Amino acid sequence: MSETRRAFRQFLRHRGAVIGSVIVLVFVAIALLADVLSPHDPLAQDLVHRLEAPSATHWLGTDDFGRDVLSRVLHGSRVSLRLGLVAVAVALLVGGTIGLLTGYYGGWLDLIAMRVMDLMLAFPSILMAIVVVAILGPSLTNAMIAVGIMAVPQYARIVRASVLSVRGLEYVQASRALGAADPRILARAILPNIAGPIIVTASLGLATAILDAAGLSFLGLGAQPPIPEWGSMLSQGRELVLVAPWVLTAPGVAVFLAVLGFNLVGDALRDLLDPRRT
Amino acid sequence: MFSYVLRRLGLLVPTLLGLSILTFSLVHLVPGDPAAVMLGERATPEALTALRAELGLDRPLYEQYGRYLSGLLAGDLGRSLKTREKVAVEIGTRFPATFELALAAILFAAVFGVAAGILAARKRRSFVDAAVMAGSLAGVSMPIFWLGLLAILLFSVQLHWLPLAGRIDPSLAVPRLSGFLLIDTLLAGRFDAFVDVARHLVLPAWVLGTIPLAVIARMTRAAMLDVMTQDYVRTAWAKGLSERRVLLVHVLKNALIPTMTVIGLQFGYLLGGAIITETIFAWPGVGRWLVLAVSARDFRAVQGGVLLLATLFVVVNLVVDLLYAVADPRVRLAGGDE
Repeated sequence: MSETRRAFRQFLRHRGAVIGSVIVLVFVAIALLADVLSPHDPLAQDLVHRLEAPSATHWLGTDDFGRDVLSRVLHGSRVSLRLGLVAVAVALLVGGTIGLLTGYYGGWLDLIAMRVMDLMLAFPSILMAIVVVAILGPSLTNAMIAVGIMAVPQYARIVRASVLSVRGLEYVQASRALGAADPRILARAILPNIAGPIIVTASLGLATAILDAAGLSFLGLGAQPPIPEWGSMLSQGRELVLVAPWVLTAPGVAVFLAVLGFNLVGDALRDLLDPRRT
Repeated sequence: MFSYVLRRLGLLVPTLLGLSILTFSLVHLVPGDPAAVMLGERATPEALTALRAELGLDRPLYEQYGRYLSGLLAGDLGRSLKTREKVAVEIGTRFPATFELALAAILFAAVFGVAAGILAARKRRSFVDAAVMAGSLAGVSMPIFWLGLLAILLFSVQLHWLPLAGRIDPSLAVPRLSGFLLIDTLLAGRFDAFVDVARHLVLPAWVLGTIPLAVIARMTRAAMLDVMTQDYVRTAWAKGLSERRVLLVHVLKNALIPTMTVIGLQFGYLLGGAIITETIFAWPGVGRWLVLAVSARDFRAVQGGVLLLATLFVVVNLVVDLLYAVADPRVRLAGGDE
């Protein structure tokens, strides 16, 4: 317990960690309370009041369907955070399992799986996501899968390298000598000791996932209208850049701040969990 | 060195084969009947049969792959299902635009990134250092699609300094020779058109170069700080050399080796990752064309575009690795385990 408390205290002393955590917590709160905080229904169209500049009724103005931009941005945090979390979960589950098994068992399984990972790394990440969307078709769910899949090789490599570094250590061998079965060794002896790098990768990965998913939606390959997603709102704002620039200001700020928040937290965790880096 | 080059080239073959299998599988991984997906719900049975025959879907898998691979080796990427044009030709006409943009972006990112990194390392723990680090954090967190729109809003719409989109003012069009407009305009002796092309390049290159700039600045700073603690640098200081000489000759020369690698890798990413920037600025490159092909579910075009961009990425990475080995003998002497 004292170890946890010490780590927590260190985290609180890190300026980037505090700023990042505050930003992330604000977004989480907005996502949870979006229904309460939104002054209007994010999907309700009001063609009489379309493309209105910011006013007392519509703080951030309205879009070309007369929808309240503020309400859409607030609800967008729900969509984007879920997108990021699901994508990271997919990457962690698939990549983590591959890394764990290849690192622990080695042999031909390791050889083949790592060559496949190398092949996936031969794609610039956005291109990999586009391939997945090309196969599955453009939608919000498929964007989550695409962004998750493109991160799989990264997780697989980090988990594999971490497993390799602890596999031969004495406590793992002791666990084996005591007759523990492989799943137990993996779950009890190895996994808790490689959690650090995984947590760092996942928190930085959330930032990348939110950014990439918004990028896919911006290209029309992710969330489809009328879902209030930041990337697709920006895509819509592109058409209105000359007549209603307010439509693209708020969603852009939202993506930037959310990504910045997770990057700050990830950087701080890396500083704290990996003493080799300063 | 020769054996290192051979070893690296040898690794290229299975990677490219793997890429060909992956792009080939693209059509087969589509849930359901790919022909039905491409033609939509209202396709007639005759049209479906014809498309299946055209794609070779009615043949055994190994035969399909064999035909695909032999086509690739002959430079044949098939025909686009939407435009009926040869995919290789469609890519060929668009590739110079992508390459010109990526090159301009990486030049911008490298010059300013390296300069910012040196400055931050020289003034470590100062305001300048903090500003460079904060700027680079903002850079990697920046959604470039938003940055691009803001840049258009400010510099094109409000200030009228730079053009809104495209590569050249249509009234200034020059005969196409290389496809690289900066070169073509010079060859045509049209300096006014050259300036126009350069002006069109500024905003997209800046937007596309933002993330690489941030990454390069961080890398240069880290590499400089790493080298600055080495004994020979301390010796250089002790000899009484000027700060300028120590930093630029002794430190930078060695710090640039890892930085060059990062610049090369970023260039590879830019070639494939210019997709979003091309979309914002209506840049007629391969990336924008690829997005349209995905939306239209034109699988032949997607296969060709993805294969080309991924191959380029692999080749750029290989060239970077080889250059790294030239610059740092430890890499090629480290043996073939890597």
